Amino acid sequence: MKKILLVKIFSVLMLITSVAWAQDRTVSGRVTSADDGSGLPGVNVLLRGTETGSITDVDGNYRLSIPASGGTLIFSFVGFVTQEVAVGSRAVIDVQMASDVTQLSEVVVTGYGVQEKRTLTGSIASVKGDVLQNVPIQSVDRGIQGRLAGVQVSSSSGQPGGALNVRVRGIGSINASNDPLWIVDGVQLGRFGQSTQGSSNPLGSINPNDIESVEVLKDAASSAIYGAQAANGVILVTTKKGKKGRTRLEVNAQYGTAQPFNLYEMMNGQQFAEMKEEAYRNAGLSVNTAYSTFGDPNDANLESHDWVNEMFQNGQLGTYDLSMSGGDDKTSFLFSGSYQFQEGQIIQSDWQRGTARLNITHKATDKLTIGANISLAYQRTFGSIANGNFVNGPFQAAFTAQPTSNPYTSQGGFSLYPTRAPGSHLFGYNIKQGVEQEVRLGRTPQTVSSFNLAYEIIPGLTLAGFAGVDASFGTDNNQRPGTIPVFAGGQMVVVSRRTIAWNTNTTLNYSKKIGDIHQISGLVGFEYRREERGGVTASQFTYPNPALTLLSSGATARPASEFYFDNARQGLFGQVKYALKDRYIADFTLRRDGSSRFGTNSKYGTFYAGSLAYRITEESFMDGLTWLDDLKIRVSYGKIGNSDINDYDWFTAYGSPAAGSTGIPAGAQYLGGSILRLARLGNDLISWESETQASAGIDFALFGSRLRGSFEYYNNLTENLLFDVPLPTDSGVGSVRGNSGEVVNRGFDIELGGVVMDKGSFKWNITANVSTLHNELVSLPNNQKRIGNTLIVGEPISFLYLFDYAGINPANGKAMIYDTLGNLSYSGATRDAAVRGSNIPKYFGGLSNNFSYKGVNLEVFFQFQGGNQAFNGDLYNLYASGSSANNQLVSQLARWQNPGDVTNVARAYQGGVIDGFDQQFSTFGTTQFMSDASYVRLKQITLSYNLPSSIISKMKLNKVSVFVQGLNLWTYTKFDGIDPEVVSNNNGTGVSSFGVYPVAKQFMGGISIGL
Amino acid sequence: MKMKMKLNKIAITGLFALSLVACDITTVDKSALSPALALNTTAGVQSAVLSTYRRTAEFDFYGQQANLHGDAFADNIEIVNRTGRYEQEWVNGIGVYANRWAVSYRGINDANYVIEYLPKLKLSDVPSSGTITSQQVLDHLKGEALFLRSLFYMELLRVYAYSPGKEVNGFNLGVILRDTPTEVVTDADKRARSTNLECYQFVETDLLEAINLLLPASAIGAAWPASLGTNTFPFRATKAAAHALLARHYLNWSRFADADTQATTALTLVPTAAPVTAAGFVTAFSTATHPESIFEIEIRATDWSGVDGANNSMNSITTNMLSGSQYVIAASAELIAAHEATDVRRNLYINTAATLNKPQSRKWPGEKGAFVENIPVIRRAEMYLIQAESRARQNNDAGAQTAVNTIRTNRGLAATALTGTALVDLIMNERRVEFALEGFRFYDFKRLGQDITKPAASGVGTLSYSDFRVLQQIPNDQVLLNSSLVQNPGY
Repeated sequence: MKKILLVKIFSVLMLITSVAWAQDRTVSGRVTSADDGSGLPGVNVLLRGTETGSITDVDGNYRLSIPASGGTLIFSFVGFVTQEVAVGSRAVIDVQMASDVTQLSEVVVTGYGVQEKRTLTGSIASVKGDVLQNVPIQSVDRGIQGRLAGVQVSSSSGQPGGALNVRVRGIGSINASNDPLWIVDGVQLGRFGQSTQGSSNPLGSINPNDIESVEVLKDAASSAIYGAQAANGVILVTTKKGKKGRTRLEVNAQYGTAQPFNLYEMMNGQQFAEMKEEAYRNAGLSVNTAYSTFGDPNDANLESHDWVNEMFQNGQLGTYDLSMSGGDDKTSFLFSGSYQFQEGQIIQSDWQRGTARLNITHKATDKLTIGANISLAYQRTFGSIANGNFVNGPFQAAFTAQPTSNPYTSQGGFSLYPTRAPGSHLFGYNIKQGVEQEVRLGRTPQTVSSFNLAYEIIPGLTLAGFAGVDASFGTDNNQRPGTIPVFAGGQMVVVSRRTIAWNTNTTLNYSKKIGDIHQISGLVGFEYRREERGGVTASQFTYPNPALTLLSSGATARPASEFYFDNARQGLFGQVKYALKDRYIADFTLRRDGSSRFGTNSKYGTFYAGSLAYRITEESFMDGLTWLDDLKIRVSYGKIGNSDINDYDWFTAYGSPAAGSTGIPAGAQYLGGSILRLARLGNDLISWESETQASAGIDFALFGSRLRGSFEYYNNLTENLLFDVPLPTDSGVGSVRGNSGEVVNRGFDIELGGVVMDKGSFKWNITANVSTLHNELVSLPNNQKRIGNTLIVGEPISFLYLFDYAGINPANGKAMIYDTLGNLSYSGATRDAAVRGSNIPKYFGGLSNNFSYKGVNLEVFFQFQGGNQAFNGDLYNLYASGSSANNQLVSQLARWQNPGDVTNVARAYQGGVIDGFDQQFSTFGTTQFMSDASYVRLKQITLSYNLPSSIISKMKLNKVSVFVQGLNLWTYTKFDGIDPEVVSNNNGTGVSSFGVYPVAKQFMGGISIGL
Repeated sequence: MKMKMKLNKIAITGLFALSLVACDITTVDKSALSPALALNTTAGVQSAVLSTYRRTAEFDFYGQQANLHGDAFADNIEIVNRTGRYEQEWVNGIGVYANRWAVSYRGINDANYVIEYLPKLKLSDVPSSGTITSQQVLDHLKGEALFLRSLFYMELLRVYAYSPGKEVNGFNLGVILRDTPTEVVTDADKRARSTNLECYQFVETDLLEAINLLLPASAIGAAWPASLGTNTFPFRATKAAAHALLARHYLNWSRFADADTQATTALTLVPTAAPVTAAGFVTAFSTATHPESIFEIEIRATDWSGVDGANNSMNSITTNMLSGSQYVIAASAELIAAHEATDVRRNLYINTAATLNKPQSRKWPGEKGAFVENIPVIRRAEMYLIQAESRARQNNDAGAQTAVNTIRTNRGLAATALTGTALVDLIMNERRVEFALEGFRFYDFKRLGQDITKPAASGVGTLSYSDFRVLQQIPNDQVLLNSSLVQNPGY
């Protein structure tokens, strides 16, 4: 039972259209669900060929006046098969309605409105809230991973509450953002404003259990109404609303554990010391230096410490939430609250969130409806340093720390690292101490709230107003206590940040059905959005005691810095939709948008889309094909835009250098005087990046909807890329923002679903989706064929440019590559490197199996992607044949030792530069560290049991369900790193992953009670 | 229903109010101004000058690499901790060193903005002091910009081009010359390299003009208008510094007579001409302001973010005095052996178990705390040794002896009476020992067209002057971007 609010809107229309009519007698009855026999409220009951109708009440009862001659009643309700029943002479007609597995009558949320899926002309992929319900995820983007064709979701961090990358139909932009526009109940979310102390998520303030549905607008036809913000796709998140009827209460609780998996297998003390001894000896250095620095492998008492075990843990996680919802004829509400916490699988990494929500709708008069969706959230993130070669990050140092160095002193305190030669490795940073004692705390109160009014001027014509805001006011604290030797005295950095993004719109909606033949609807509107981000970073050094943490307790004043950004957009839009006999459907959208981010005379752009759908099954000549329930062909074409660049790129800025990322300004003075320099070369001509999207698809349902699905082809061309056009650096400027270059993304989105088995009480459903993606750079500024080694026309926009690894020379243990001529070489020139693979997957998708038997339900969900390569930067440190002070993978024991040894591990050689040849080829990486990052992951198994109503009714409850579930349980991949899901963090550096925070394996158990 | 009517009215009014909310989409970047606004005051122009100074302290300039590469490419260092850093440089790997290009031109563009906008100031708006007129303030600021522009061009030329007259196979390209700021996209045109001679002449002209414009050291300091903040010798350019830089430039050009003249003039213009004494030599390097500095870059802790010092400072790379140091570079055995027995400069090197039994230098001891120290760019000793070398190469042995002995007697050594080639060799060795880890060694071979000797430990043997690696690779992406830009031979 969904979209009650929408049903209400329809019902309002129905009531209003129930003008006086010759009414001679009354028919009444009760509408129940065929599934469980419960009364269905809100069902539309319409006398065919008339405007006479009614709506069922809370218990499913209805009453309708009909002509004495009777007629046919049409019972329709979202998610159920519409039924037509001839009245005859009966006065009581009870109807059982069956769920509609075809979902043809399902209503999907579209830009500024709703539509029945049946009549859609564009590409909208949808996930309903039940998929997200009680899954131990922190944000909705994780919940849609693998669920939707054409929508690729990958983790950018396994940090609890961390960020994800969502890409709709490929990657169209090179320097502008590729993030889709997220809209929660009409509020266009800001992309920024999260904590700086660990990966965090812009959607983190929304409790996934509050979500009714997620709709992804994938093509121009569905998204052009958002014009210039739509090129990366638009994702509409709709939260639950109250339903008419008694107040229902639902309580959910679950608890579980998060565990690390597939960590690197590192050497023990003995093995490590042996490698170091050999590396020193081979390099002509004193082995005694190796012994005194790393330990003596011949020492029977040589210690061995497992740093990985010190740093990783089984974390706890739990979710508790409560919701109440209900309503009467005038008012409906949903009230919910939740608390969720999760510890990472690494120590000192956790996340907590509390949320509260009130969604309320009130019919003030027959014509006026007001509503508000108010949400408050508080997130507390304790972050980890990850995604880079950071010696103070646990995902680097837990593996590289020397096993012959004890993290602890004999007194149980933290030792100076490494114990034999403090300071000689990892900057003397004892990672265990560092992570235990450094505070990286982000606290973010946030609201995503909106208010709306709808006034029905005449039946079918509604004027609506909307105002929404996404506001957060956060504080980040980074304390580096003086107890950590490298931070002698102690350091504290405080970032106080605020983001306020608000948008308003006014729309005029019209919908009119003329007879049974013409259905016309239209929409015009105006929208304004403004976003403002600002904050202050302050720091202080030299503290008397680590327990004193306020800035005012520090003795050494540090410079403060401030940032401020703002941008504004406005747009005027319109949409017209026409359906002839429910068979031929046409839709046209136009939007004119302006953005503050563009040049004085190039702020405005016009965007449009048109689409057609043909529902062949409505044709009379198809009537004989009873096995064919539905067949629809859709085509769409449009041009939409992207303006997601920095706020002031058009402006030539002369200013003081920006503060460093840690908040400590670098280079802002000379000799105590302020400095001014060219901060950015502006381009007053820059304007919209535009994306032309074409798509064609077929939707079908067969055999009583036992099999349904859709095939769709898309071809998206991004032009006038908002490109950082490189300038000769001898101009003193590296690049300028311009509109140049083209990228194409094309592929197929395929969705299939079916009932495999439906016998007795046993039911097995499969839903699957797969998408293909071809990404290609079509042109570059000034007709260049390439820019350096990062962009090449004809290649994908993200690739790995590497030397071709040729293995270890068995004669001398030196690493070799193939040069351009195919000859073996110890060193590489620029010309020897080439494109060896791309980070962009060629296909991705998901497969869900749902088994149910009586009250038992089992969901088994796989998610996959493939065709992408990844370059594992961790191996620079760990696959180095003992050449550095880093601990090594156990695999390095297979190093070359004697002429004739055939191995992939070079000769152990301190420094890794043998006779001047870097064994890791410093200018470019080699294919040795590149591997196929395709994977299939058993993402989720959920086993739940609904207690039979015979039991729960005795307990005076409505519903009791218990469940156990696991996430990320099994993975198949050839990737040589920890997690193939977290591999694209360091794009642009040529490395796919380096010190990344992998995702955790999770096991949960929980209970859900409704009354 | 009256109530209903009222509600409806309110609703409609509300809707209109919403739609009328701010139809304004202009925004302002609060962090910056247009160049014309930013540079319309004397203080603004001076801030642009100070930016140019600040660029010279970047890690791919004098902050680290420009001071250490010259030693790593030649025979003064040994890699003590094999971290990958300087290892390729040490064995003269191919194309290992391409960073100097962009950083230099950013500095040049800074200076070009100053030179472009400075004449637009109204003289009546320019501050003055009791002893310095407004015109002198303007002249001095322009002189500083010309001085700094020269510094950047000289650094580019020694890395990417042969000295005039020392070309290999006639390859005589210099670098790209720009003397106007990049203000709009079309200013960033794709240019070809000028010849090395044109570039050397360009720098000569700039420095001669700077000499005319700059105030002497005695006229700045307290006399500088208070409203313009601090201008203290040797942290900003002076007439002496410009003469000294020109002396270095003529030496690179093998114009020895001119080099001698400029060095001599520079020494007459500095507050104290004498070099530090033998007793004070080592401590001079741990004194915040080196007593010999003619031009020195001032660095403060605030200039670096938290890890900059440990990651990139010269102190971190050349010592392990502080926890977290890299300690990559120690002195080579050959450098130590180049010291005569009583040379106090030998005392700069500490050789104990704590230094991994390698001669660790104390030239960059991070005396301002947490890896921070000022960077002397031109020292008086250089002027004496330029005098000495120039005179010796012009067969003025007596004059050369006077100059070199001023240094030798202040370094714990006996005065020399050598003549001819032996004297030249001695002076070149003085330069090696005096300026170790200050970035001169490789370029002393190069400017003279000589083969480069390497430490035995590097296993490289001698690098022939005709080897293409003597010139560094111009960043490959720039050559790809700009078809007019000719790459150096061999790359």
